[in-house]
Amino acid sequence: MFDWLRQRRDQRALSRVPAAAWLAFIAALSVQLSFAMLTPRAAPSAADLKAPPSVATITVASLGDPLPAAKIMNLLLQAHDNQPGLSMPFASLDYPMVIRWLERILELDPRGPYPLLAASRLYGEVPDAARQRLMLDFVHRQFRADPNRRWAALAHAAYVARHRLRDLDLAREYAQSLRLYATSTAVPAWARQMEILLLADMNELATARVLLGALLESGQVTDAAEFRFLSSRMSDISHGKQ
Amino acid sequence: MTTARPSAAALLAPRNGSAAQLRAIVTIARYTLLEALHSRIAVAALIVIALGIGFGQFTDMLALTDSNGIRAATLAALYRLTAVFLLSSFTIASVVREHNDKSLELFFSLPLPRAGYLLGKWLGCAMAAVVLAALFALPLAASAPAPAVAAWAASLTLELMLMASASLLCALTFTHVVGSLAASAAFYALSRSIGALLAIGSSSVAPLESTGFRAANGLLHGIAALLPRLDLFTRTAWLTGDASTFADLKLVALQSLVYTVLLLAAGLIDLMRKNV
Repeated sequence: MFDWLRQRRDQRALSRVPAAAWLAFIAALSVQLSFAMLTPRAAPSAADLKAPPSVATITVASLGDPLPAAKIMNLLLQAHDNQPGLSMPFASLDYPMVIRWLERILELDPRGPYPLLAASRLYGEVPDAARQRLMLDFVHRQFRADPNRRWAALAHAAYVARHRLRDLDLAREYAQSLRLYATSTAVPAWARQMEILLLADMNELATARVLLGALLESGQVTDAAEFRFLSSRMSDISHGKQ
Repeated sequence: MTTARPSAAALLAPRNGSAAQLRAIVTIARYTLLEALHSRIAVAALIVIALGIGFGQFTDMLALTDSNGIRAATLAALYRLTAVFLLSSFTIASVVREHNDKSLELFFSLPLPRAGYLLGKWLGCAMAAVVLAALFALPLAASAPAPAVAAWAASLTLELMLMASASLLCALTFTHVVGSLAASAAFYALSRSIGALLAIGSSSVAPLESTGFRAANGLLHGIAALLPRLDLFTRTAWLTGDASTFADLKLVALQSLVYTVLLLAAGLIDLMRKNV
């Protein structure tokens, strides 16, 4: 390393390089930059979302260590929301396909919180009842596989069912699941008592404040990015944005 | 590893004039190709081809349908990566050895411009690229239409020539096998995957108001503009009929030409600054 640095230091001055070499370099660099500008890379669109690769394929492609692939798949899936001319993210996505991706990611990384957070707080909040129901149902099914780790996503699903879908029965079903299955002492008491909160005559903003505030104050959100994301959602709800 | 190196007499025979320099360049190219053949990259390529054919037979037995598509796709990906690895490692090993055993100093003491050495070396690697691309394309002819295989082979040749230029630059700059191979591999991996990184950064939940994110995203776009569009090269979709072949090939040829000139010019600048 030091030899290499010494060799670099002892090189001839840049002025010793012939002008023709510099000219060729600068001309080629200019053409390369023009080429890059004239051949823009297409951003992934909602229509580009194809079926996820199988677990075996991902395992082979990731040389036997699929966890990093699962983490990257979260970000790749999230990027498929560009819709020229439309301002509402995620609304034109093929939701059954999104669910297949989320299921695949959870198969590869069952302890990862990302798929359920995305399902409940990104894809589950589009202003389209049919799509919301698909996503809430997915969250509920996945909650049953690991209730004590996935309770936060179902708590939010109950809130969406109550205030966005205005389906009190569905919200109570989710709240009951929380009470019956999320039995670990690590799950805060308010989550197990969500039925009371849902039945109380509170508006959406007040409920969101209670739920998000309790979640943020519980100390269970330790990831800085998640804390920022949840805080910004709280701010959006306060300002009437969805 | 057997080495083949042009003798000083072979290079010194033509002393003056551009025709003589051209002959010297051709001599270096010829000996570089011979060195490549002696270093057994062709043998390594044949072993990988045989293993690939065996693997293809295995997938044929398992596939319920689209066995040609599965075989073509898996073999094409394996062969492309192997060809790039073999040619890059040969190029780097050859230049680093010439640096270490002082052959480079001998070349520079001859009445041959440094650009002539670089061009001769590159030409030899380019000929090795043609041989490798032809070897790897042949077994694919059984799984895909001939025009698609021809386009795939042409694109692989151009990709290999570009990677040979990148490896030459890395070897001349670092003069160390491990460092040069790592730099060359990083360049290849980043050039092929930068599109996916840009896509991830374009998500609607990206924190666009954050200065840090905007700076990082701008930097990523800058790096992408400086890297070759290797994602356009040697696409497996050509073999499976999922993408049009010859429309893409023009862009591939243009990108290969521009970037090869850029890398060779950068290599020449580095070579001219060497104090030997």
